[in-house]
Amino acid sequence: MPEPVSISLFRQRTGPYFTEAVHRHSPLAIQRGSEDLGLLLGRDEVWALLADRSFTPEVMRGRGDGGVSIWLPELALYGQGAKYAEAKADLLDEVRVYIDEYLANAAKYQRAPNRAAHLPHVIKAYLADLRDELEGVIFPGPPDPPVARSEEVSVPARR
Amino acid sequence: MPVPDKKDLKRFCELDGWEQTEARSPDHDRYRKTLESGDILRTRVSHGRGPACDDPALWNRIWRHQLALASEAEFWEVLRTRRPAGRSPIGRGATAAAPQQPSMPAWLFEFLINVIGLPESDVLAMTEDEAMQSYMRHIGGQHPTL
Repeated sequence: MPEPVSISLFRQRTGPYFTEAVHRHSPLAIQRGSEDLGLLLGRDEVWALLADRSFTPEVMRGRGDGGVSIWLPELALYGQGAKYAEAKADLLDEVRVYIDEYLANAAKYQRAPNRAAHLPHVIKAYLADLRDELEGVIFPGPPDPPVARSEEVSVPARR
Repeated sequence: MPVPDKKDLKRFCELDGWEQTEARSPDHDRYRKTLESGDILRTRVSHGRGPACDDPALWNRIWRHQLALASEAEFWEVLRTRRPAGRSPIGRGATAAAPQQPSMPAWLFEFLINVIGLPESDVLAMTEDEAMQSYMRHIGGQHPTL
């Protein structure tokens, strides 16, 4: 098992270590003192770790002359608009605001019983936004149709 | 019960001891409250006048999940008594007693509009079952694996 790299060595060789983690896909453990341990991961590895975290926005109809609301249960956020596209844009803005807020108060929010479980979804949304893929991640397409198999056993799939 | 006005929601946040956060935007003020349990609540109030939201189903989720109230009546009780909400740990969020609210998955909504080409107003008028039936007719009867 690879030994953690000391923080002082990491400081001296930041570029090569970054290349190792990001381009060669090799996670790097970094240690400071006897207790502080960090892990440098490339984008692809983080994305793989979060692959099973998905978002399930729900669309609701407003009263009277219309209006659309979208509730995002994974983060307890919503967007509203006169039309669906407006509500969607509003929700995406709200997700960005929440990412900022969560990461700016990370220690506090991760200790909060009702916020701790948001962390993987926040990181996924954050990474998706950096990749310019936030809309596609928050609003995934239809679930995969069941695959016809000759055997009785089927494996549920979900995006 | 009616959906509250924006001023009602703002007043609720003041009476219930919420702090206004720095994350303001041109359209919204945002509020946050930390409970004794460590839970951090957050909500937003749009600028201007009128209802806090257009949709009773959304309002149901707001008081339940963002304000962490046991019932909608608790919201109005705070405004009436001008005292903070009680939020008993047992009733908080009221997930067990949550009534079903009309909604449909966004992917289904988008499929009906973008792929099948139905008007947005028609899809909004559908129940989830009706929307799913339209989807299944279109894809040939295979129910998606959820």
